[in-house]
Amino acid sequence: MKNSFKYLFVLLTMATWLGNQKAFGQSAIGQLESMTGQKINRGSSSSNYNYNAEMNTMIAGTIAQGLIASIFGSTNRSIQPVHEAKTQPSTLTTQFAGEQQRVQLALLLAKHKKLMELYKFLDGTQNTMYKPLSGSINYKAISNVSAPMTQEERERQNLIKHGVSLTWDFNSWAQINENSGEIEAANSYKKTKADNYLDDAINKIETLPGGVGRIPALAGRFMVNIKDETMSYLNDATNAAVSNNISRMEETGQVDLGKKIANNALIKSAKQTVNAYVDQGKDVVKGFFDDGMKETNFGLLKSASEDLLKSLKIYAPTSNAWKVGLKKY
Amino acid sequence: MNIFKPILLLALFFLLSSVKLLAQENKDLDSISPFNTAELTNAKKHLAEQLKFNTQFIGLIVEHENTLINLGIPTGILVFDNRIEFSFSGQINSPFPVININYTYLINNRLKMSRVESRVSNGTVVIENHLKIGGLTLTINWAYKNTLSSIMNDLTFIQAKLQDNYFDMATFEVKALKYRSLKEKPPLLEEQRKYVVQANTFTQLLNYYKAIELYLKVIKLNQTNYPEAYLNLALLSGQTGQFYAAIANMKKYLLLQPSLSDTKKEQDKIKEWEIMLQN
Repeated sequence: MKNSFKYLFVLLTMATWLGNQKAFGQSAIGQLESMTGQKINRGSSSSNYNYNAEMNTMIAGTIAQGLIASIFGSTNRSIQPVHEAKTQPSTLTTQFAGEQQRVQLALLLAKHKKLMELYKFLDGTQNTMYKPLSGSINYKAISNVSAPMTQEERERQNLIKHGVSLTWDFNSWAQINENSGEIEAANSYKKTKADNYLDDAINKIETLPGGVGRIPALAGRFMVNIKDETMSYLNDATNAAVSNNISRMEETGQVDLGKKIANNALIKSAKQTVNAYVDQGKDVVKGFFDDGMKETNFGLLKSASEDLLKSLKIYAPTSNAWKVGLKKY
Repeated sequence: MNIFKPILLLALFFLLSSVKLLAQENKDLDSISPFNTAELTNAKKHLAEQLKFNTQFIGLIVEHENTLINLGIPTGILVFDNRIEFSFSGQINSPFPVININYTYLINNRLKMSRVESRVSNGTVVIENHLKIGGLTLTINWAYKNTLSSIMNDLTFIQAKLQDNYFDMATFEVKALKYRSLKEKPPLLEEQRKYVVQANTFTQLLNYYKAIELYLKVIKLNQTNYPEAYLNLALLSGQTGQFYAAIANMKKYLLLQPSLSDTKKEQDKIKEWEIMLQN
């Protein structure tokens, strides 16, 4: 009994480690700092558990930027813009160049029309353009209502049908309540063999004797979740873009993708870690309780741990600043 | 014997006349020599002197693939019978070691002088005179603007002579008169018809330069049997900014078709192109 309480205490401590930088020597944030080469100014928080939302957002965003930079192959440890944020100005530039091209084409066509007012053709060759074949081919106009569904649209409809909420809908922005702090269910992409191998490796690292693998495992999960968030974001964007069969979309406003991705990745990593510890804890205490009692106790423990994470507010609620409306051309 | 002498002389006279006319009939752009008159020769000499004396002050800007490239001051300027050569071979990494301005380039490209002020990196304002010849620009410091004006005068004179020679309105007026006097107009040749149809197709595809090329082939086969060729050539030339050619071809069309009741639109186009040349 004494031992079971001891393990319970350990598990609770591990579940709240995110709030305690000094729990296991170098904190997770410290380890992440080492990995990414970023140094975070943590300010002077009076309480180990009371990070203000602003601080955590800053920390998470900075770490996320560093990790994303390394994921996308950059060896430069300096802070770089998030990959998607980089492409947003280029979208606007492309649209401006496209607008210029349209104007130039319109001018060219107007000049050509003026030329044709005086231009003389050979008699009988005025209409040298194509004659339609007699009666056999009729072109049908494509209507938005009756047009067959494109493959991309079919995929998008499937995603919605299976209850996966898209983070990027071309009609409205993400379905997230600003104050809930919950992450939205990402449109997770199919894991590759390499991804599964990475998951196995992280699990293996976590079970290293002496608990030395717990922090690296958490860091690994964080990185994977950053990658998954990034990948799912890209997938959402691609699905939304190709499902709009009219034209391009325009994005307006400021989007801090680093914050969004990092916040989601943090809470997901924490949840996964809690679950992993609980599962491992179960193995440790097996034999002390009957199965029924074990499940109830660990269920309570898991729920309590998750509630504790939420109350600590280690993630920052996403603000309206990054919720942007998309408009179709 | 005395009877044959004048007949022989008359025959010789007609023979020489026909040779001269044939030569003019078959002339093309490449065979024009700007220096076959004393006036042109003098203009060439004066131009060469100006360029030689002011080599170190004259710069060159070229338009290449929609970009302006400032080549700077050439290492040497040479004047030949049919061209002016700017050499940049002494410059490191110069994109164009040699730039040639053929005199025939002057025929369809207007000359325009302007004053340009620009600010350099240290904040100083530099004032230059620019002489634009189509896609090429000669530059000179404002202090030497008279030199560039003098060069422009020489080039303008050469341009006028070349255009007279190339468009040859005087000779064409004679041919147009002969054509108008014919009761039965000559038909369009089959080969001409082929070129016209092709040219019209290229026009509809907005490929104006190809259409111009084909219409030049049409009038090379017969200069007067299809007057509409000159009208379309004029319109296509105007569309591509070759206003000298546009005006000349429209005038030729009006010479061949004066009986048309309404030529107001065509005359208005000439006025429009003349204004474009002045601006």
